Amino acid sequence: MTSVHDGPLVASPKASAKAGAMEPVGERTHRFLSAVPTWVLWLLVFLWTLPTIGLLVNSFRPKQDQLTSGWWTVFQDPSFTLDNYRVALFDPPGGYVSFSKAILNSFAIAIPATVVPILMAAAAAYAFAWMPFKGRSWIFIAVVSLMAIPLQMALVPLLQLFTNGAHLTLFGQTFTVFPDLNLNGEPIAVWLTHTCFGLPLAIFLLHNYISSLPADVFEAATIDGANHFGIFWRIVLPLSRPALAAFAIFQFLWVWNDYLVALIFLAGNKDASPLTIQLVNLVTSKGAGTELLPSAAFISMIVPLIIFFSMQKYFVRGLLAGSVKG
Amino acid sequence: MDSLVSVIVAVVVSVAAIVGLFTVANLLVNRLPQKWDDRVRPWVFVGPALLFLFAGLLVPAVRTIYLSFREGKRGEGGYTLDNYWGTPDDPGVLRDEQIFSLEGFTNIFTSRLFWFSILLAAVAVLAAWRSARKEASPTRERKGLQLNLASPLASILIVTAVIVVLFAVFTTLRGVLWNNLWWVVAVTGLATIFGLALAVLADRSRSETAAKTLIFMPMAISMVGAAVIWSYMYNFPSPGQSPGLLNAIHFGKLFGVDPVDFLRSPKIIPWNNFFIMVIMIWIQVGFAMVVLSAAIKSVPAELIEAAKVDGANDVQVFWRITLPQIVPTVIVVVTTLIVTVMKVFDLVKATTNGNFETDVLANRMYENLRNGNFTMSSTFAAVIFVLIVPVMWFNFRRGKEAAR
Repeated sequence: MTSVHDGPLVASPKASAKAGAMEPVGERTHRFLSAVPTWVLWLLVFLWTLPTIGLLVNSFRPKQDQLTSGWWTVFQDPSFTLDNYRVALFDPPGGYVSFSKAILNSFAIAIPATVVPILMAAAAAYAFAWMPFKGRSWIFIAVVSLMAIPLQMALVPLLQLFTNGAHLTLFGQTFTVFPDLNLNGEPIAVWLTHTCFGLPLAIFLLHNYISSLPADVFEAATIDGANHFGIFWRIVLPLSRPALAAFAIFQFLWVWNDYLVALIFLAGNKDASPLTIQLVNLVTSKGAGTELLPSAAFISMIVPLIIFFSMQKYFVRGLLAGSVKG
Repeated sequence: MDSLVSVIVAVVVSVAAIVGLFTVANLLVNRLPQKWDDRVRPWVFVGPALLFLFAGLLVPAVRTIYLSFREGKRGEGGYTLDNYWGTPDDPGVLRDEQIFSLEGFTNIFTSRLFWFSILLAAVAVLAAWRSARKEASPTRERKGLQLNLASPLASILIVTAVIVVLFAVFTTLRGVLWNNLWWVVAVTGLATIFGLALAVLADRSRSETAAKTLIFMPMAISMVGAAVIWSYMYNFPSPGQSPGLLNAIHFGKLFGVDPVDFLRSPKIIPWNNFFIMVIMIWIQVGFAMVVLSAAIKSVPAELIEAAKVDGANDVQVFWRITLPQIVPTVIVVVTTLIVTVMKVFDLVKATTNGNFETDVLANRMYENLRNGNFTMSSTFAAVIFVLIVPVMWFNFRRGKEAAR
């Protein structure tokens, strides 16, 4: 080390800048970079938020303003309206389903696709953690390694399954494994798919948490006469609330924001399509309804943003615990 | 109102079904003698999840691989390799010039980016040599040419040179597969670097939480929403459409045309790919920042204190203490991003729909599925899978080593 640091023991940016003159070019450059003051951070934050601010501003501008000038001109010539939101939500141009309906459709997919895998995964995670059974560890490894399978790998067969069912021909006899329920075009096809793809991560996250619960709790409950079923409902679920919340937020946002699965299973059924599909329909149809795009986009973001700002802690926790997802 | 009721019914029924099933199964097991209870009960707990995973994930994945080796649109023919290889007239994925072509790779030597990266690499070697000379202890004898590639300036230059040379490659070699690899390099590389820079910047700031929340926010919204947001940055002025912000500030002059259609203009191909990647970088920087920031905060304070007592300055602390400590997390971020970006679909679909030379593998997979060509669609899915497997395997091995 070439620099002799003769300032106070805890280096402050100012003191180290003084010492900089004696250092090699490289270190001096990086000292400068690392000592960039807070306003550079805020400049970056401003740049990062600018596109979203533009959208928000535009969503309140009247049609004519939007089509003729950029959103930044609003500072010279402010005029605002709620019309875009009213039209997008309740009175869409012909051929579109209203966005108020699309919000409900999104909820109809996202809520079951969050609650169902959580319950199944919590039960499985509890068994993997606290119930001895044959093949427990290798089944668990197999389940977790299913996280490696990308979503695309299952879509074609699932589409076939939901439209035609599954039939197995063995020794000249055809057995129906899964009946032709004609689920294609129904929300249930979407949330079943999301349920399957959410399970490996959910089991992994919840197992991490549930297996770290103190064993004394379970012993005490067993002595009091509780069986596994009772322990699961009355002790494990309430105690794992932080992990459940982390996964729930992660999965809910994932499903709410999903476009691919909804597009494949619901494209033919306008009345059931969620916000993402409606939004892309609005994007691709140039012309009619362009002025609704910003308000429609904001309508599709409002629920995720509320969840994000109110429960950021859990979202980050879920992200840190396991960020690889099909 | 009608639809609200039906939504509530759907939600209640689906949730009640799973809770009911689980409860009934357990009540049935309760009636079994204790000896049977212990054997059956675990399967009541893991059974539903395993059933869903088997029927909805494992079997379909295997079937996708099977379909990719079948003839005919629905796999009704025999086994074949044609989906992958094919004939010159009817090429498979790996032989299709639109997907994967090495044609014109010599053009790379006329690419300005290529020579710029060579220049960067040369400067990096110079910096490494200089740093090695400064660091060499006077007592030790120096033999030949010594390079300190780990010095801050040298390593930054090397990383930049690698990214630039890969950009030169991907702007020269065109095709769907090359596009995907470009996505992976650009988004993974830049999002990780920006994320790390922001994590370090925010770490020193008083308003850390607020700044991080705002940068992290794009993670919460859909890719489709992000595409709409950025359309008001990129829009090309036309009747019935105001210019996007970048055209209003004449950003297109950098490309010699102004205003420019950032996503569609023939003048800007293949860089329109990069402008879609920018949206993904905008989203993923928040992810990289949050994860890396958590890692930086978990570096033991005693280590940093000790280094400072020994006279290390902030840069040295970061480069020699913090960075080596967070390398495992950087690897997690990088591998996660690679896997995410390899599957990119929504953004391309919502911006250019894969036109104007911006197509990616996942979009080809979707287009074939929509056209009813299930075997070809499966082949594209399998290609994505094969590209992801090494990364996942690497992650898995690392996880196992860390657990040991």
